[in-house]
This record gives sequence, C-alpha cells and structure tokens, in this order.
Amino acid sequence: MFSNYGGYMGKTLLVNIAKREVREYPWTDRARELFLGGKIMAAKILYDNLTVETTPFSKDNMLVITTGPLTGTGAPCSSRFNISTLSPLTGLITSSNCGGDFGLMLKKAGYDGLIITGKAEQPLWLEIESNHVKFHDATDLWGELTGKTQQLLERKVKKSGKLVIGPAGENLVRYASIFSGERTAGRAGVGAIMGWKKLKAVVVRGRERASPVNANLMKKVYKKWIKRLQQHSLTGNQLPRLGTAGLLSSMNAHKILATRNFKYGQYKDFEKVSGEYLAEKYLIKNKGCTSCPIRCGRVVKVNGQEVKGPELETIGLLGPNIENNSLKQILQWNVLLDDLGMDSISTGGSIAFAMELHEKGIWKTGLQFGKTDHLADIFKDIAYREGIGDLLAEGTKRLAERFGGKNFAMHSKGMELAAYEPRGAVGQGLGYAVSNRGGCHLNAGYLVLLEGLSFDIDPFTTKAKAALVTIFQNVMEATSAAGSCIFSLYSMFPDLIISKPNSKLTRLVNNLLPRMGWLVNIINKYPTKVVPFDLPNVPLTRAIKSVTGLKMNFGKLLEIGARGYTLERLLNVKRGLTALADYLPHRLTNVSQPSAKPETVVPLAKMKKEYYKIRGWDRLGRPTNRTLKKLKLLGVSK
Amino acid sequence: MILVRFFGTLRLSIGESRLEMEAERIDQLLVKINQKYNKIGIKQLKNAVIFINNQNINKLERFKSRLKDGDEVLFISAMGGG
Repeated sequence: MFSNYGGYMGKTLLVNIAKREVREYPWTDRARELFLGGKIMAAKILYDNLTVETTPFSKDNMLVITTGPLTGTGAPCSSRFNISTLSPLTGLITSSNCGGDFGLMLKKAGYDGLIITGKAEQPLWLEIESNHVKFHDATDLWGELTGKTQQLLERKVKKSGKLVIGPAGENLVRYASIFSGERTAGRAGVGAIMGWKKLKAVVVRGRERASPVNANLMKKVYKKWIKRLQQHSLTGNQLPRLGTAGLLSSMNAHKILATRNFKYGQYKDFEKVSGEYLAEKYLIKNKGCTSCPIRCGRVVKVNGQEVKGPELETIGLLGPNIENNSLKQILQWNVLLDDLGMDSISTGGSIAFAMELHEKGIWKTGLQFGKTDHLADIFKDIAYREGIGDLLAEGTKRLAERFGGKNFAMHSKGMELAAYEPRGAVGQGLGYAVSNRGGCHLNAGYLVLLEGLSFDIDPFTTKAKAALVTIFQNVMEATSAAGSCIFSLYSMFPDLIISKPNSKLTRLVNNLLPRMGWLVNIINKYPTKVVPFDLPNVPLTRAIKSVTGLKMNFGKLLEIGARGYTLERLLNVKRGLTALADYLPHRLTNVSQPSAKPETVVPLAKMKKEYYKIRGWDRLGRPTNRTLKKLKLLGVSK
Repeated sequence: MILVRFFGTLRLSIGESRLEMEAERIDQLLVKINQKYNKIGIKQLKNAVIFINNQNINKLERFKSRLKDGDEVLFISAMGGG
C-alpha cells in the first residue's frame, strides 16, 4: 500500500506463523495522518484486531513491531522502533521502545511495520529481506542465550538487524524481554509473548531507503537539531559523560531513590553504585545508537572483559532497592540478565518484594536485603523456572496474590515500578498510577524531571501536576510514534534554566510552574488552536514536516500524542480496566518514608480525579464520547 | 570542618569526590574551593544544585546560607535522563 508521504516505506507486513501465511496489512495515508507511526500505529492495529477474549498467551495476540517516519532517515536519536502487544504481566496493552538498528533494517527490508500472529508448532525464526519472508527451523537455536543467538544468526544472515529472545522468553517469564544487538525492548514481558509463539528470532535485511519529501530542508533541520543536542548541558554533557546512571546521586539527594523495596528514598551506600563511580572505575567509552549524537550507552570493563554497562534503572533496582552496594556485581548481573533475556527492573522489583516477604516471615526463601552473593543463581532459576525462580518469574503482583503483602507489593497494574520513589515526587506517583502500561517511569510522563532532577518545582504539591503529567505524556507519546528517542526532548527545556538552577529566572520558573496549571490545561484542551506553530526549541515537528510532508506543528504533535494515549486507554477499558486499576501500593499512598521530613505520601485520589477531567475521561476513567469525537477516535474500530 | 561532596560532571571535572574545608557561609566555601581547584570557577560552582544537610540552599538563604562544623554540603551538576 503506497504512501504519498515521505519517510514511510508504505508497507506493513502481517505474518501468521501458525499457517505460514504472509500478506500486507492495510494501512492508509489517512491512518498515517491520525496515528503517525510507532506505538500509536501499533495501538490502532491492536485495537482493530484484538477481541475482549484475547489473552496475552493466545494465538490471536499479536506482536506489532513498528517504526516511525523518522526511523532510518538519519534524524538525530531516531533509530527507534516499537514493540506492542498484550502484556503477560498486566493483561493490558504494552509498548516497548528500543534503540539499536532493527528499525532501520526493517525499513531497509521495505516495511514500516511487522505484525506477527499465531503460534508455531516448532521453534522457528523469520528471515525478511526485500519483500521476501522465509520461515526457518529454530530447534538448534532454542535454549541459546541472546548473545550467542545473535552471533549464530549473523553467520547465517550477515549485516542484518535482529530481534531475539533468550531462555526467559522461551520459558514464559512474565517479564522476559526482546533483544536487538545490545539494546532491549525491556519491559512488560514482550519476550514472553515471542516465546509463547515459539518465535526465537526475526532477522531483517535489505537495501531500500525511505525518501524524504524535502531532502535539503531535512538536512538543514537535522544539522540544527544535532547542534542543539550537542550544546545542551544534558544531551551534550551529562548523558554522554555519565549516562543515565548519572542520575542516581541526584535522586538520593532528593530522597526519591527507591531503597529497600521502596521503604526509603535514600541509600547510605549510594555513592558506591553511582554513575560517577561507574565512570571513574569501570567506564571504557560511551556508545550510541545509529544516528544518535548523545551516545548515552556505556562500555565498561569488568573481569578483564569489555561489556555493556548498566542503565540507571538496573542499578537502582538491583542496587539500593535490594540494599546491594556492589557495583561490580551489578555490572556482571546486567550482562547475565541480558543473556538470559529478562527485564532488570521487574527482576529487581520481584526480588526486593520476595526479600521483604522473607523478612516478615510470609514466604521464607532465604532471600535477604543486602545478601546478594547467590543472586546470579536465582536469576538463572527465574529464567529456567526452577525452584523458587518459577514463582519469582510470575512477578510481584502474582506473588502478592499467592502469599499476601499487597500493601508493599511495588507495582502498578501488575508491572513493577521503576527506581523513582514517588513520595518525594508526587506527580511522578500520579503518572505511575495512570500509565497505560503500568509502573513505567516514562509512560508515566516522567514528571520527576520537573520535581527535582532538572527543575525544582515543589515535589509535594498537587498543584498543576495532573496538567503537567498530561502534557508530558502526550509529547512523549508522539515523539516515540515519530521514531525518536525521548531523550531528544531534553533540548526542549531551555539550557538557561537547566544549567543555572540557582538563578533568579530559574527560581521564578520553579515557583510559577505549579501556578500555571490553568495555562497548561488550555494547551491540553485546545493544542491546535493555542500552539498552531513550530516551537524553536522542538525541532521534531520541523523534522517530521521535512521528511513526511504531513501538516505538523507543536499543537498537532500534542493532539496526536493525546490521541495515542487515549486510544491505548480505550483498548485497556475495552478489556475491563477501571479506575481501580489506576493504583499505587498502600506504602506510597498511606505511609510516609520512615523519619522523612516533611512526612509525605502520594495524594493520588485528588490528582487522579483532576487528571481524568483534563483527559476528558469519566469518573471511572473511561474516555467519554465527546473526547473520542474530539480526538477523531469515535467509531475508531473498523 | 565542613564535608564537601561533588557529584555529576562537576565531580569528573574536579577529579575529587569529597574534601573537608572550613567556611562559615556557602559563598565563602565557593571561594575556597575555587582557590584549591583553579580550573573550577566560582560561576561553575554556583551553577550546581547545592544541598546543606539534605536541604537545597534555595530553600535556605541561598549563597548566604550559614554553615557550621559537621555540616555536609553537596554540589550536583545539572541532571536529566532516565
């Protein structure tokens, strides 16, 4: 199906691996105008094809792998692709965004998206090259670790993009991930869906190119965008030098570093697992995805080997949250977990919960905070579902349902929370609760950025938080749909404020922002009327225009984001989600951090009510018909 | 003595994680750090997020915030990314 818009390959492939049938999935230019691409495109495809009866582990569940129009065009930070499906952790829609080169290679093979449905009888792997699909027996690959699998596949199909799962995916660990090179579609168990389908790998290769409608303009926009990223203090200095792990010290200072299963917000030994210590002791060089000038990835040396370094979340959940102060151990586990093929956030969260269950005498496993020497064996037990690993592989929510301890089971909608402890950043808490995919810091809107990390607005007030969460979620949703990394958005925030936290201007902005909820809400309500133009600090809209030819401005970008977020919500509501599921554990809403001053909790009920109102959802959290009509989602199903 | 700790890219630039100094106010401390590490300007130090015993100086008396023996002062350079 051809597209008149640039940047797109104009074709999406539907592969039924049970019947070994291949056909093109209909996706029109009208759909591109409304849904752009990436995770929003995927949400529409899932909405149109999943029934209420479809369960995550069923042949009708789909793996929808999509790119955005900027993917593979050389745009900075835009080698991203997205994987959406029904999550085995939450039972709801999940989307997992990934860097690396698979998205670029999928486009080279001639496709904007790849949809996989059905279940194979025997393990197989798919090879897709320039409009040809081959089904290969994967019996010899089944059981292999993710790294080895990719090595073996590279021998078979050279210079290809790869998606693979490891033993965790094969054994249906509910938080198994999908790996592409060293990058991970990490969260919510997308790897388990691939494993259930008996699909070990997808390999893509080709020579096609996505053509922009205005190549000269595109190059000019990209050049300015890259310069902006390189000159910004976050994307040009902090992230390249310290990676995401650099945040840990600041989180500790702000008392938002999840410690001892989220009991505390500070960890006494934080410095031993900090990004600074990582840089000083282990860092060899930084590394980036294709076309990324930020290069936030780490290459570290441990035990004489150069390996991928950990992200902040991995350190947080496998460090302070289980009271582990050995960074060396975390570096080794990071590699092991990648090889086994599972999400380090949910692994760490589930183990922290089990440690507290043991401490309280509820489930005696021997797992104890601060005693971590044997954890590598536990990780293997999880991946192969042996011993207590078989239960840990089910995740925190199901452990709580079996053993109790719901009040300190740190998840939302069934997915373990990321490393930000939200009693010291209540807007982040709201985001965790309402996030479409559960306890994800990014799908939550990442308000913690304003609540202490880069800005310093009052982290405890509820004022403007619902409005800010909404606008952040919308802009991040649309950015991902375009194929861009959300880190590219950092340059949206004026460096004048970020790099001068004590200046009069910065203090004024920090004081004013919580009082500007009304203004943010006018933008949330009428984005295309209030900001029908490009913003100088958001090159993304100019890039989309120059590549695709789509009518685009900041208001339209926000509208597309709101449409995507609401569509995902609609799919979840269709599957029975109610306001009760927009939940945070009792520990965060009713118990303050021990000895913390001020004593705070997340005042969720108040913020949630306001959030629904801003979103145009009813009191049960369902998008109203008026909202659906406004977002052109009424009668969205085909 | 005041315990001074550096974090973020500021720490990588200074090459030290902590030191002990005597000072009665934050602005005095900035001058003393600058004297010890010439390559780190006062302006650069002023552009860090500064905490005294877990309190941001913007919630105290900013650069005139008073220090006493045993206080811990953190300097954290601009942060983002998660």
